[in-house]
Amino acid sequence: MRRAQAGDREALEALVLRHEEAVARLLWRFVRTRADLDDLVQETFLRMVRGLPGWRADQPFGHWLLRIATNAGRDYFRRQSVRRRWLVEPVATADGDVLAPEAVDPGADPAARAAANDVKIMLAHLSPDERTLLTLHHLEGWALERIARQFGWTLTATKLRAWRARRRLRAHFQSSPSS
Amino acid sequence: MKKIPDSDSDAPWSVLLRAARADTPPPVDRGALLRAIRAESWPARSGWLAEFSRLFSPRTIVPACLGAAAMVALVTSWQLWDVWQSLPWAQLLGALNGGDV
Repeated sequence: MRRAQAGDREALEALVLRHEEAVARLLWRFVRTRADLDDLVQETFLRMVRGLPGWRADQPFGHWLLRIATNAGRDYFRRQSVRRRWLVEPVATADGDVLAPEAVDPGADPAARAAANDVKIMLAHLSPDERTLLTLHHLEGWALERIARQFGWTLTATKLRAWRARRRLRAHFQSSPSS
Repeated sequence: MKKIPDSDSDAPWSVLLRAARADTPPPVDRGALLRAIRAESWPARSGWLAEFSRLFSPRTIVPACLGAAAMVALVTSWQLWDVWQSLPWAQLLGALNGGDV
């Protein structure tokens, strides 16, 4: 870790390889295609390299890196939200999502992939912050306390946000004729 | 039929979530990742030298010098104006005292 921080490229690459799996696992909750996953993982590690001189040994490296990853995931949701808002002619599927179904790789466990896909499509109707919150809570299984700490929100505000997000989701699927 | 997430204890929603959590990510393109890391320029050195260089970098030092020069010019012109204003009074005072200021 110290060697990587001091500018040792080999140590840095070893650090990337050691944490790549955990980062990919977390970021996979945010995306639906392999290309997007590769982009987000690269973005996270590039942010890590840029921020490495500022990392202090008093905070666990893994936590610090996952914080970068969750922020990268939230930024991805924000970009998607902006793109969707300004798209002149959204290419929407029946689910209201912009991704064509054939673009999704069935994966090793097609049932799990399909379920994850369903949840991701449902959460795509929320605002980026709410989507991040429910993604981490429902798909990654993080407690609301941990999410609150991660983004610097109060626990009450996080609980309220989660409640509002669920209510909005429920309202959306009750009003939608395809639901 | 979409399952509506009523709460975590809602049965269809819980079943869907349990299945979704079992999903695993596809392998990451490790070669591209390492290439991107190698291509990234190394960040600034840490320590006092980096702090010093950051503090006196051209981006901050030029506006700081311009600001300081403007401040000096302002204070000097203010002082000159003050002296200029007080000169007729000094002459008047001199005349009142019979020429001895």
